[in-house]
Amino acid sequence: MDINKLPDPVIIINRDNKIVGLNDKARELGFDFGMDFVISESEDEEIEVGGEIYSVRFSDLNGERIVVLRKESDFHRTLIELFPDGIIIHDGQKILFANRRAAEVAGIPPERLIGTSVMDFVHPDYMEFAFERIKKMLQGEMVPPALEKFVLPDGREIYVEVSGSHVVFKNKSAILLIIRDASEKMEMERRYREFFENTLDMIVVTDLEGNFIEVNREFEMNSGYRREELIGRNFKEFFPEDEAEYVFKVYNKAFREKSPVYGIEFRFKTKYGVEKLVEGNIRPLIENNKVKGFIANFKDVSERKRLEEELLRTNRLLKTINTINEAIVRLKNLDELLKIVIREVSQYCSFSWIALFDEGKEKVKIYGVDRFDEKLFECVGIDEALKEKRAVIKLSGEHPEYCVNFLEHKNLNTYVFPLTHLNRVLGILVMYSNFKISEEEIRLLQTLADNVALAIHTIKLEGARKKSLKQIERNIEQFAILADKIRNPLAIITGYADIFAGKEKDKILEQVRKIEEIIEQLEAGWLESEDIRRLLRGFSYEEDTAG
Amino acid sequence: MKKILLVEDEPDLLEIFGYMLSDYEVIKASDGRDAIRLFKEHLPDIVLMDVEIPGIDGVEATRRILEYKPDTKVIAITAFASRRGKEMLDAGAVEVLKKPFRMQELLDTVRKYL
Repeated sequence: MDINKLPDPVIIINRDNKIVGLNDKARELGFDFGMDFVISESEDEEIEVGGEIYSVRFSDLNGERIVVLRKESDFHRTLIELFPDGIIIHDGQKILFANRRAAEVAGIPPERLIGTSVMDFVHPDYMEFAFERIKKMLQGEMVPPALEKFVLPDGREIYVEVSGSHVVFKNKSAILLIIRDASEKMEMERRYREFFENTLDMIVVTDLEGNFIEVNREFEMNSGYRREELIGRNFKEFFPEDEAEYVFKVYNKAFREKSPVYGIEFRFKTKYGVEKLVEGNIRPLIENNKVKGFIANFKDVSERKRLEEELLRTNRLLKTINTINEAIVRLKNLDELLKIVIREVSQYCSFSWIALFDEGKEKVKIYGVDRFDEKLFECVGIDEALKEKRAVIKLSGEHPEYCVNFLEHKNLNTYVFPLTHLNRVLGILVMYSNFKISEEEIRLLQTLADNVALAIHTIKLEGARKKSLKQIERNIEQFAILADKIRNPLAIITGYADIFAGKEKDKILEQVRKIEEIIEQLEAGWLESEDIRRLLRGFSYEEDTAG
Repeated sequence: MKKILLVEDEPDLLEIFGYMLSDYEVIKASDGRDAIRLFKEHLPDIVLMDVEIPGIDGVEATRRILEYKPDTKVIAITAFASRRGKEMLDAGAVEVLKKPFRMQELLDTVRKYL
């Protein structure tokens, strides 16, 4: 072997470490025959010659040793030192090499790292895991990067992402580890997870097919499903059919446009069959310009929507009540008034009817249905409302099958309001609705029922008053005619007495005078009645013109 | 002979009053319509007018008679003077005789206006 042909400086030493041969490149470095070349093998990896660092490689040849010096590349050294991740080489137990970043992560100088046991840094919880990985790597097996927990000399615990591989270092089997401090990443992940789990939004991550990959706690709470029951299942299973189609279209839009879709609103079914209305956004998860899945966040707006609808309904109800109250003030005709009440109330709910009772609680008239049917009164809640003189509410599920209107009403809520005035039931207002009427609305409807009852009472009273007035007038008229009719025969008697009576004349005329006195007393009473009649007529006129 | 139109729906009274006024020429009517017709036909000096009579009542008949001949003396005769007497005076009657009245009273009143 012509060592002069080799590109690196080469020295041949004997057993006494005397140089017995060398090439020109070694000579250029100042080595020569007979010089001692002493270097400890445990620390012989590098020597400094003329200010330059050379790595040293030994090989044996016929009892002599060939030493090849190879100048360390500045580039590789700088690269290793400036490498942003920690680089550690260990032999399975002790650390043989550590770069500056590794020392920074450990929080101690690099020289203190060399020689320490790599397992000293591994957290007890990860000891077994790390050991298994080292074992595999030493056997030449590939291991994927993994997250491990380290305990630093100052007691801090950090997460590190560790990639490792088997290498030969200084002619010996070793393990090269690249260590990245993952504490920040873990902290971010922790924060993200905390946000993910504690946000009041429901968050769902799905793959491209719409299968659940991840859901947060809020979604678990809202859907009633545990995470394990959801992961792997398709979103379509949780939507009514038409709604699933709509949601699919939204996802498809996010997929096609590779951009979020905001402000979508849809309904989904909980585990217990309750439909919830939610509002939210869907974002595509994009990797390398390809959509890999979706993340959706949404809020349950069922309650907000319910309150909005309730507010609208309450406003509508207030308008209804206003219209009815105007009619109550304006109208004197009961039929006309109750038809308006039914028309207005039926616009508010699905439909309604009113029954009027007479004094004996007999049903005398019904409004809102085409024909009077006794069976209508067998409807749920009516007896109870009449007996207890209070509003009775029966929700759709409470509608008994024996009810004559079961088929029509079974899906409706029934609200029964007795129309009472001064503790007397004058009638009943029955309403059916496909929505649940709020307590506030019920309070308003109760007020409406009271107003209608008062109007019924007032109109009936007015009717009775007019009837009484007519009767009084008839009586007065009758009395006047009677008085007139009595005076005529008296006039005849007086006339006959004057003309024909002899000695009896005065007696007859005396009796006529007495009768006349009685008539005058009656007449005085009549005059009072006449005044009362005028008074009643006056009131009646005022009311009529005021109306 | 002075003419008196006697308007009264009660036949017995019509007969009695007629008898009382036998010194005069008495024209008899038993309702308002007849009274107006006979008044126009005979132009009596005095009208004795009952108030409660069939058809056109005494008040309206008085009004029409006075429209026709404003200086006519109409004396109201009524069983219910307090109720209709004022109406008759308002319609133009000169006096109200309240039934029952004596024969002398009737004659004195009639003479007063003749």
